[in-house]
Order: sequence, then structure tokens, then C-alpha cells
Amino acid sequence: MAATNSSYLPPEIVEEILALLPIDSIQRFRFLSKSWFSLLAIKFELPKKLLRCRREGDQFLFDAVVLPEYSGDVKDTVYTGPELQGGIRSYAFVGSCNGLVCLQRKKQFFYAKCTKELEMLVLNPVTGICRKLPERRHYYPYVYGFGYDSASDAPPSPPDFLSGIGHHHHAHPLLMLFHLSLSRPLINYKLNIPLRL
Amino acid sequence: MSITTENNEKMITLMSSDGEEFVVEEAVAAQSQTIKHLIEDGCSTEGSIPLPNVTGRVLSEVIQYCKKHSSSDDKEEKELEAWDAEFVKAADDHVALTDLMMAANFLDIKGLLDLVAQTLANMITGKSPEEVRRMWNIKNDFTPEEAEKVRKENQWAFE
Repeated sequence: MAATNSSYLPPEIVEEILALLPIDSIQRFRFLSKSWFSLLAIKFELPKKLLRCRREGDQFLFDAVVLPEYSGDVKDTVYTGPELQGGIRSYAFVGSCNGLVCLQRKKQFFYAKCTKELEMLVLNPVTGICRKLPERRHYYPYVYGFGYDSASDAPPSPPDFLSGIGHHHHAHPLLMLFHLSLSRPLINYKLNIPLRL
Repeated sequence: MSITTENNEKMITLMSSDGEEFVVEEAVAAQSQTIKHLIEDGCSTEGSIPLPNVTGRVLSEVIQYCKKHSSSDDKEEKELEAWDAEFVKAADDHVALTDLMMAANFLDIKGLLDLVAQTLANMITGKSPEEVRRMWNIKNDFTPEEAEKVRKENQWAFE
């Protein structure tokens, strides 16, 4: 290592620095070079410390997370995009994978207390862009996770994101998987398999 | 070689890539996980510990940091923060900071690594891609066609 001439920057060093950049810099530097791109690209893991998530009452609240400011004090950073009505605090954190974050918000209906409409968002913290998934109504919906199907991760097609939604009613246990293929409309109920447990 | 001072503090000798020797207390040197493991493996008993990746100039800065951080306890956190800020300011430019960061990475000193990484991140935050390329001699190896192609392929991630 040429310690007096820092013309070479090892990837592990770049990675440390990039993890601390605010969102607008990340966007600006994406196409700086191929190696920077690959470090900042979709595989770029969110620094774990940013995904602070705490449980209050019966739901998870986002504390700092995902949002535009990577640097400085991240506590209570609020993403104020127009998609997040009611503020990020009314959203529960479902999961994060491959650099995308899945959030959900439960709405209670005044006419049928047992029916909840599920609002789900997929957020890319690197670009700061958020997409709302089409709403569906469920009975006692619990969203269990957010992941991707690595089997379909062959380039150039993007990985398919899966989100599992479970139904907790003792008489009718149900597990559904929702498949998000983004080359088509964002959500695609390709796998919607009621699972009798 | 390990010698012992009057107050019974075990001393360790570190040798930089350019042959400069530094005698420091073991507690100071052990701030570096890399050196700590070398000591545990008994490498320090056979003379000085060679650090082929770190020059004397950088090593003396690293040692300054380790000395400060091994002698301060948690109560002095505010003072330590101020000291850290002065420390990176004294490092002057991004070349010196990059050297320091590479040394911190090799020596595995987490506090120093985080400190310098944050300083460098702050430094480039407002810069243009071209300025950052110049700082570290990074070549833009994207052709316009490639850049366009990559942009398209990443549409799905809401680019």
C-alpha cells in the first residue's frame, strides 16, 4: 500500500465513506465510476444503524431509518414525501432487502372494525422514491416479511420481490404471498396460495 | 521486544514500513485489534512488530490517537470529541486523511476509522462527481452508452 500517495482507494475504504453520505450525494455519485456504481447500486446495504425500529404498543415504529439524511444525527429523521400521509410514525416496518424497504400502514374502518385496509409502500432510500402498492382489504392482516426470490435474480431481469401476508384468525389460518414483478405493474398477485395450516 | 517501565506498564515496539520505531504502552497499541491479536499470539516478544502497510508519519498520528483514547474514560466524552475534531483538522487534506483511514482499516481501530470516514464523507458531500474523481484519481470508466444502459436496467429500483 502506497501510504504517501492515495491515488488508489480500496473498495472497503470507499464503502465506509459512501455509507455516511447524505442521499443527494449518493445520487450524484452513482455514475462516478463502475466500481462506485457497484458499491452504490441496488446491492448497497443500508447501514444497519439507520434501520432503527422500535416496538410501541402492538406495532413497530420507525425511529430513524431510511431516510434522506445518512449523516449527522439520524434519530427521528422523518421522510416527508407526499406518499407518507400521517407521517412515518404511522407506518410499520416490514423489512428491507436489496436496498429497498417495505412499509405498511394499517387503516381502521369505522363501519367494520375487524376489517383493515392494508396500505403498503416500497421505498428506495437511495433515490428517495416511494411507490404505493395497490390497496387491498384483509381481515386481520399481518404482514410478515419482505424479501426477494433469488431464483429469478438472473441478469438482466431484476429480482422479484415477495411479500408474505398472513391471516391470523384461528379458524381460517391463511398465508398469502404477494409477488412484485416490476417489469409489469408493481404488484402482481401471481402467488396467492391460501395455505391451510 | 517487550520491556517494562517503572510503573510496570508493558511496552511494545512498533516498526513502520520505512523502518521507524515507536515504543508505546501495550494498552495504547492494543487499541488496534490487529496489534492486539499479534500480541496475544506472542508476536511482540521477538522484537518489534513490523507494520509494512503504515509509514512512520501515519503511524505517529495513529499512535497519538490511540494514546488519547486509551487514557480517556467515558466521562470525558465531550473533551474527547473536541480532541477528535482537532485531530482530523490537523490531518489537513484528503490525501493525509485517506492514508490515515487506510492505516486505521489495516490496524483495525474502529473509532479512528469511523472518525476519518465521517470527515471524508463530509468533505465530499457537496462536491461534484468530477471533483471527487480528481481527489482520488478515479477514472470514469462508463461510456455514455453503458451509463444509459445501466440507468435503464435499474429502472425497476425506481431510479
